[in-house]
Amino acid sequence: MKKKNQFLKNAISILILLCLFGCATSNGVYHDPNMDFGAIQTVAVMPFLNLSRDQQASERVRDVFINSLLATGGIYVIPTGETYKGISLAGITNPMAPSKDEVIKLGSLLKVDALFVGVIREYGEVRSGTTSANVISISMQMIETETGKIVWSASSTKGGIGIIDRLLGGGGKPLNNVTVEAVDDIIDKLFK
Amino acid sequence: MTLLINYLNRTLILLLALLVGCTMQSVRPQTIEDKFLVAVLPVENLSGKYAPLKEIRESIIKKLKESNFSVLDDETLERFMARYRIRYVGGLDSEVAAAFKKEINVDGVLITSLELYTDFPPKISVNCRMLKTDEEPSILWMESIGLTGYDSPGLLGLGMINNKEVLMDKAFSQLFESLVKKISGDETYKSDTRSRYNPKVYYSAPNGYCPEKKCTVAVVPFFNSSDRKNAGEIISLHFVKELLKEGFNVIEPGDVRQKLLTMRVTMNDGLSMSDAYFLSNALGADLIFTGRVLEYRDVEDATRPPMVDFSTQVFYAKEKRVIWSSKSFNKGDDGVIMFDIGRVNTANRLATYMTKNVIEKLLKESENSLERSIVEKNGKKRLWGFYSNQ
Repeated sequence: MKKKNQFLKNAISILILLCLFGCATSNGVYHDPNMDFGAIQTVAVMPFLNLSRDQQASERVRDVFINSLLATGGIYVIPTGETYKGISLAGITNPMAPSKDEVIKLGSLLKVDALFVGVIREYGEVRSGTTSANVISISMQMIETETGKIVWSASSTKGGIGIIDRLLGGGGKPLNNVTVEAVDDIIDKLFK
Repeated sequence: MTLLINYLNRTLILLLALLVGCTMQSVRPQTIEDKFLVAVLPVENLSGKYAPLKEIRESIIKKLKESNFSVLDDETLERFMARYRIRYVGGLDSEVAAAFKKEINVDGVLITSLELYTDFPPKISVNCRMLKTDEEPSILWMESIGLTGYDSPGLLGLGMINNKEVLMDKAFSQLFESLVKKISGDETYKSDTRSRYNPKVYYSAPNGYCPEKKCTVAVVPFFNSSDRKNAGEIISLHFVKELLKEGFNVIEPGDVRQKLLTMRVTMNDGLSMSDAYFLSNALGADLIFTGRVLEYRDVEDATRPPMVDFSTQVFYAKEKRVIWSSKSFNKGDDGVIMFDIGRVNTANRLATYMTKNVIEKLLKESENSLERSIVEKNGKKRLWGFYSNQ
């Protein structure tokens, strides 16, 4: 009987531990330990891959991301018109996911130290029952133009339906505000 | 007794009529000479929809005449436009503007861009500017107005305007009152910025060029990523207007357009640095304003507010760099708590507030730019771990 109790206690402890491990997540950030981030001063932000239903999502997020990145005062982002010109000159067919060679070529053309590429995974309204709210989920990567290696990667999800939304309704925060929050979060991860 | 009352009534009416006459006379500018001849160009339709452009132009001419301006007759204007092959009526290049003076002795050319027009509920948004036709043509005055019939509904909706003619008349009266003030030198610029229209995110070059108010600025049409037709041109006109009010020397948008065409500059995803450099040299501009419009929405019904979303970039072409970048987005009901107090009903007025705030912020930030090395945002300092090593 005592043995049986001990077994039960052990099983419950393991179950709780497993649950705890399940809850724990990595913060989804990768920093190349060998990378000297101090060398990066000028960057280009490539058009983002849009997996959401909103056709403008990529441009909207890119616009906020460029301004927020510039606002940090740490990095200079070249104008989008310049980036487009470089992409055309380099003959990159898929600027949302450039190959290693394309990154190196573009880097020398635009005279930038790194490129940012990103994916918009979700952008817009989500519904759960009668409640709705705006949500955004993005992931970004920074690629060094000298080697074509990914030196930083992070993702962020903001917005969505919370307890307050469920209880009081209201439709959540405006999409633009949620976008700024997500972009701020991802930039914080870059500078950490 | 009845006779006395009748006599008193008549005297009162006469006195009232005299008073009204005096008031109307005092509204008329004293300093505008009758010989100030204005050519009113056909209205440029930026609304993206059908609008009674002839009717609007006639209304403008009527108001100008009431304000003591002489207006060039249509026949002479048509002949001149045919001779110079003027098809674009949203601006004039300096060559044609000078020819207006030399050939038909016109003192000013009025350029009108219609942003919005609906019959019911009546709505009108226009952007007007007067171009002075000297040897070196310049923008003499620029103003915009956006009105709807439900701007001031008042008690029981008694203040609602349901007639489009009445609204149009009100709009042009307000608009040309400002022109008269400008020409007679009575204009006083009031800066009424509201913090809720400030850019949400902005970058000001830490050791950037501090724009002096006398510097020359060119505004390139914004790249339009919105659903609204001509939104790029509309936002650029708002910037021209607000920059002029702040005292900048702004190059006439018609000149900018002409240079963009002759230099074959195409903006596929905005202006490139090399294009900005060549354009700046060709126009003699110190700064180039451009950006991207993501939303410029005027809604048909009165219940939903308008929305404007754009980003701004300022190129300091001489040093081939961007000295300002900002992101602005607002809705007409931002900051409204109750009874629709402070609600903005047209995208025109919303864009006016937003562009004004961008320029004021730019001026304020550039004044402090040399002292600032680290951008503080939301009270926390953001700093690369290595930034201090530089």
